[in-house]
Amino acid sequence: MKTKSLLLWVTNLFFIGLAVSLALYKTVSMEVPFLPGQNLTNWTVEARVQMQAVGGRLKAEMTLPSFEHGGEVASLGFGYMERNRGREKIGVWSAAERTGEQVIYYQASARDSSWLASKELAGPKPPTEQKVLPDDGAEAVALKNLLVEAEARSADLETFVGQVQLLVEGEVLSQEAGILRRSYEKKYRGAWVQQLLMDLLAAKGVPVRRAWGVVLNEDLGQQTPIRMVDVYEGTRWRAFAVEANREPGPLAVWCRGEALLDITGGKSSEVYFYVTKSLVNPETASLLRDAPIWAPSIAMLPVSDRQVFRYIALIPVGAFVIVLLRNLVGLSMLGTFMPILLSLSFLEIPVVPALLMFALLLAVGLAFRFYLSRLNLLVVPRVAACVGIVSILMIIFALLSYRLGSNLGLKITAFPMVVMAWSIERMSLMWDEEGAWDAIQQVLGSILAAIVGYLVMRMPVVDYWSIYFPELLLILMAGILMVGRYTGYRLMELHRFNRFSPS
Amino acid sequence: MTSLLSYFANPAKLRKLGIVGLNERNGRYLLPNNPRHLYRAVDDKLRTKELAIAAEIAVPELYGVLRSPGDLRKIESLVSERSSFVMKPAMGSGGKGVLVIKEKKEERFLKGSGSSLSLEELKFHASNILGGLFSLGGKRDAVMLEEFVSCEAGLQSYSFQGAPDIRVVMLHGYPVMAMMRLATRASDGRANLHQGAVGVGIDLGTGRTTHAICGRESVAKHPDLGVALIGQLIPHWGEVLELASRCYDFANLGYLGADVMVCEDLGPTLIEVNARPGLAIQSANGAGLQDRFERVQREADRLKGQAVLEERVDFAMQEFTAG
Repeated sequence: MKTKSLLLWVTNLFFIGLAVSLALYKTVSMEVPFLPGQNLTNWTVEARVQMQAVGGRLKAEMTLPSFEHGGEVASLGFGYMERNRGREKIGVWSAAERTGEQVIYYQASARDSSWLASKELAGPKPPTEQKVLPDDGAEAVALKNLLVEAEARSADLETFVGQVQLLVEGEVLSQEAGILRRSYEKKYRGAWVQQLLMDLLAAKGVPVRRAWGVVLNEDLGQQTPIRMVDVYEGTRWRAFAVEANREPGPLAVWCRGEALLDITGGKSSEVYFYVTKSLVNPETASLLRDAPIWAPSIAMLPVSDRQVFRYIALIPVGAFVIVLLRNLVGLSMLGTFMPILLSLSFLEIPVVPALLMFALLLAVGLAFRFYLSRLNLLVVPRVAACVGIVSILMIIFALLSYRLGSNLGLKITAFPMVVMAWSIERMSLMWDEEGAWDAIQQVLGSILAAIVGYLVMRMPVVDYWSIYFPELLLILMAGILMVGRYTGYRLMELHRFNRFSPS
Repeated sequence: MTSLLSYFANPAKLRKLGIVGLNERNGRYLLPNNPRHLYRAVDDKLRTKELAIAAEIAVPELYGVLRSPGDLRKIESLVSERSSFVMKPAMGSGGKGVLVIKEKKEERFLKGSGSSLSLEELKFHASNILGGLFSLGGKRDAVMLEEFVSCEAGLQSYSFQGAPDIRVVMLHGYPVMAMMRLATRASDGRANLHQGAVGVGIDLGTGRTTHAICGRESVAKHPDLGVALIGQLIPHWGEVLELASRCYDFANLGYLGADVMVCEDLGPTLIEVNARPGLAIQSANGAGLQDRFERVQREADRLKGQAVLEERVDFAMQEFTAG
């Protein structure tokens, strides 16, 4: 008994000491604030380039944001340099001998304001040369007519771009717009609207070039660059998105110029953006990325992989909540850690719709399970049938909600399917064996635990620590070990023995 | 605020009464005294039965065992000659999956509660057991078919339908506390306290009942039958404690519960051994376990755990009695 307590204290002191010294190192030497800043938002955008090297020399040139930002390059074995082309900054990756799939990253971090200001750029007026449209053929006639029509309906460049979008992207197209659309789509594929606007604006005599933008919204995950046109107006350049429909969120310009990416020695290249809100300023973020390996934080990882590791760091927090609810409160739940999985899905779906979906899934699944029990099936096939019904229900939910014009149902995939099926099975058994009330009590206990877990995981400070101070998990571990040796009463036992009458 | 507080007991008061909570049971009695590798002897009821027979403890006769879906065919011949039997999972816990057949009428099998099953339904229940539905962690399981033992008539008269059994909790083989569990209408003929069965505390020295609870309320009479529950003598009491304590000799688990039924013809019979007995026994007796555990611990330390069966039972009967 004594030695075990001693061992526990030594372990805990080691955990806590290690966590505190790492956190102190970060706060004192690296000046990472220990608590999240209040009104400081920084966005880190990661451009991830994937390409197939054909063998031999490989050179990739990517245009980078031209405003002041913290840049970070992470690409194994590539040489890297930057050069200027006019006012644009270009990153150049090169390698002597490459075959197969290659990935390069560029991370740009800057304050909210810098990203938002990127849509406009002051600069000297470029030399203009009005592009003369060809004057024969159906396409040329259509272009001219479209230009006249859009001009007649617009007051300035912004409304002009909007009108062209309406004329060529709408559901119902005029015959001429249809011809143009088909012909441009054939020639320029995905870039057809951008090219059409470039041609029209050039024909108007406006200085114009391409631009690529990114939506500042963390929840989108992987996004493809937003195609834009950049026009010179008065004393500055202004960029407009060329496609009318895009994901919600503020738009920022990544770069402007001839091309986003230029590859020699490779093919089928793709550029993806990943956006993350960083809660520390860009200088600290870059310090954290270059920190020694013994002072780790999730901020060291590429943005595209951070989200997963954020969850991995949050799961022990959920486990701790479960430990407290079980051993200190005495709440009974379905399955030991099932509520954590539920909390994680609450992080993806707003709680109220999530609860409704969960209740509905459970109710329909349970009804189906009671029907199955009349068929006298063997156990494993019966649970498998439950998995089947849960998956079909999820698909139906998604389709229905999508038809009704909400994307909410599509997020139902956040529910852990197999765990749901087992919960239904366990609940139905308990229903039969111990009565409906016991089964419902356990479900309510699980939901309560999931909500508490969610509320804790969602706290900004918990999220912040899990990214920048993952070593604090060691303190959590020490807490879990302490509860592991707690032999006092649980809250529910105080209720259970409330009416205790000594004989 | 006061009403909310009255919902919970004052922990200091419970501490004073010596009530042991689940965390304390697990951390101080169960984990240190019950090493993992010894659980098999009690979690697998076939193994328990073998060990009990070797230790000359009376158990219900085993009619047959089904280990694979192919064995399901054997059910018919096993039950054709018998009018009553019990079907249960070898690795079940807490009475889950136990099917008691008391009578056979026109090819249908009658349960204690009066509902009946066909042979097909019996086979389905067996296949559920085989699939691991009632075993810990859903492991593959075996079906046991065993004798239905009827309870001594006097004790049976205290229980609504289901047979009463006696739970004896032991530490290091010393009986510490005992209770009788009686089925009620609300508990659906089963003896599960949290489903509304009655728990009756027993004085270890005299074998007389001292206190009874139903749900969270103290009661003096059976809620359905109206019979008085306090001051009744359990027949063969000394043998009941001896049989329970004997289980420690083959199971070797420091913290142990034995479920014993006093049968009409066999006398005290072992029904089940439990490696994680619960704490409701304290409410049934109106007494905390802690003080008794500590006294037993001191005694076991004094004799370096070498006490023989009679010494352990004598100690319990002398110490844990009001006289």
